[in-house]
Amino acid sequence: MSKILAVVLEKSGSRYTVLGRDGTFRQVHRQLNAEVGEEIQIQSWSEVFSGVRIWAGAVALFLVVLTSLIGWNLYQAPTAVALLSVDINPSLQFALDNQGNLLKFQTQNEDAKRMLSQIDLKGKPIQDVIKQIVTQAYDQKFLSAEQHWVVVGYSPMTDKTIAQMPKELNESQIISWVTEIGEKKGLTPQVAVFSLTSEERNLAQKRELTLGEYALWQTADKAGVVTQPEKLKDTSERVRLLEDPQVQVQIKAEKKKIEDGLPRKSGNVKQDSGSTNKPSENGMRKPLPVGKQFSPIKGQFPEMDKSRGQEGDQPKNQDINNSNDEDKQKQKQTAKDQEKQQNKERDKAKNSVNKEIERVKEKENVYGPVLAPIPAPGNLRYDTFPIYKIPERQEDEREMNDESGIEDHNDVDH
Amino acid sequence: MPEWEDKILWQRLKEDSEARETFLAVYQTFIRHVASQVCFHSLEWGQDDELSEAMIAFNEAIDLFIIDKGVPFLAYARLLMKRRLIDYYRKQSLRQAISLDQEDIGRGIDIYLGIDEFREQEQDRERAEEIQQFSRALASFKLTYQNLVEVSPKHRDSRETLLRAARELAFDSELWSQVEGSGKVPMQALALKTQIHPKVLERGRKYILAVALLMTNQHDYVYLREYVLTREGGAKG
Repeated sequence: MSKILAVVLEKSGSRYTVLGRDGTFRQVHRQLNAEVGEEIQIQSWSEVFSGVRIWAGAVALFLVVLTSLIGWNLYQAPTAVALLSVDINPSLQFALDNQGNLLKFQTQNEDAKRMLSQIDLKGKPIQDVIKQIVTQAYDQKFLSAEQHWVVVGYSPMTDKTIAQMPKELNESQIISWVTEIGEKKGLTPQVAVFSLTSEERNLAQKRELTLGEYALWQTADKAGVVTQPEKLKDTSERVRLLEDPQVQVQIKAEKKKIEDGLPRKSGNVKQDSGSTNKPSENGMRKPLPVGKQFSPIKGQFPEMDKSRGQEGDQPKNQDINNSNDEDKQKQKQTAKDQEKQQNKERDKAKNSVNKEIERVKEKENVYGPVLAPIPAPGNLRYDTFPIYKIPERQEDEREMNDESGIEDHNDVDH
Repeated sequence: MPEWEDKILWQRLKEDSEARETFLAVYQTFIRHVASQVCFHSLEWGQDDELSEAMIAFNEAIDLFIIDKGVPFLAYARLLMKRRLIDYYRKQSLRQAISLDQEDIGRGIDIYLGIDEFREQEQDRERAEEIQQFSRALASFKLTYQNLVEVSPKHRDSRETLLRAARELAFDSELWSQVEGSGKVPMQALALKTQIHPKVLERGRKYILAVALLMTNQHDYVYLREYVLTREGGAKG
């Protein structure tokens, strides 16, 4: 303790007024019985301040730690886990938290800015966000009979956030939200939904493209349709690509890959237990495939429907949505009569599935977009089936094949 | 501690007669001031024997003073001068003069007072006298100790700044005459002289005035001025 001498100048009550050796006039607590003129020892100001400083430092440190903890918790809550892009003409891309609420817009073009000036979407759930964007697009004539394409892309922010992505962020759900608004507005939009990986998201950001634009560009590139990535910003270019036969073929091919490949992926899992009939619930969204997926909605795009795997080659199955239930009933009625024939075909189907599983094992990375035309309302139920529910599809195939007499392995060979 | 209380200086004063002569010449004012206070009338060099007695006492104080005792030299010298003068008056049977220092009447005055005998009690008594005198001087400027507590700078830097300003004010005869004439600190002139911002000076106005009072009246506040004189500033005269 550093102390200094001070002379008592005045005594008042329990206090002394003193003049210290450092030249300060101060009041201190009365000590013993010092008289005016006597020298006493007092704490120097620096000592007093150092004591105060220690306490102030401790309090400040405590506050900093407390604030950091609170700040960290607050910061943690709204962490962006997924990115979603919507390209109509307003092109916008926004981050979502693990609850599926919009956190912030990442990019947006002029049309999007104009549109967003009229609505406040921050903090709203993804469902409301998409519905409001589509509604506004209709109201502002961005979506019309001439321009009816909606390109949606989504991806996790990083590989680590895949598991945290909101459950409602999947193709069928997004398509149903968009078509719901379309139905209300009396138009049928066509929705192309792409799911991208975080690596692809990075590549898209490097090229300053939205997720949807990047995925479409990649698909077109694979189809041999040359275009500049920056042109994807233009709605007409996107529409041109989406309606280009070559792109559609590529989309069909990649869709087929997914339809063929992904079921077998889940089939691989199920194969050990000897069952391929159970639908793969997780197969819908997670884990995300390495490549992008393009989810179709049947009915609006007949050409694609034709080409969707083995069903596309069946004349009877062209209108699957309408005849599906009837087919099932017929199948049940004729099941007993054709039991022997079915058993044989099942064996063949199993064999073909096993062959395909082996083939998929060789192709580790299944990568393929699938075009998704918007269904007529009547077809919606069927079209919103998760594209990975292969066991069901296989059952349907078998049922259809029973009628058509075409075996599964013929399709697999495509 | 004032710079002239430096050990080396004191050693020189005790050994070098020329240095001692110079020192005595410098402190003639102080000697006359103390002698006049004891005699209650003005004294002149060459006319009054009291001044010679006081000078002898002051010279003895130089011989007896030990810097390590931590006692201000002027306080010690002042006490020696007072005692010698009282003894002088007693010898001259000048009762009128003796009665002025009632405390010393009842006891025998030993004019020889070693530095070791210069007890704390006596120092406290002298300090208390200075404090009363300082209090009266402050009152003439409408200041109290309480005022000074309120405005006293707590931070070392600001305290040193104001002490520097007070020193400039106290040892500038022109500025100090303005203070004595008007009862106010000439802020603008002081700001110009010290190059300290007027706002800083204004905030510390009362403190500057009080400290300057202690510094400028060096003969009256031999104890108190040591509390406000930093080593860098030193005592002048």
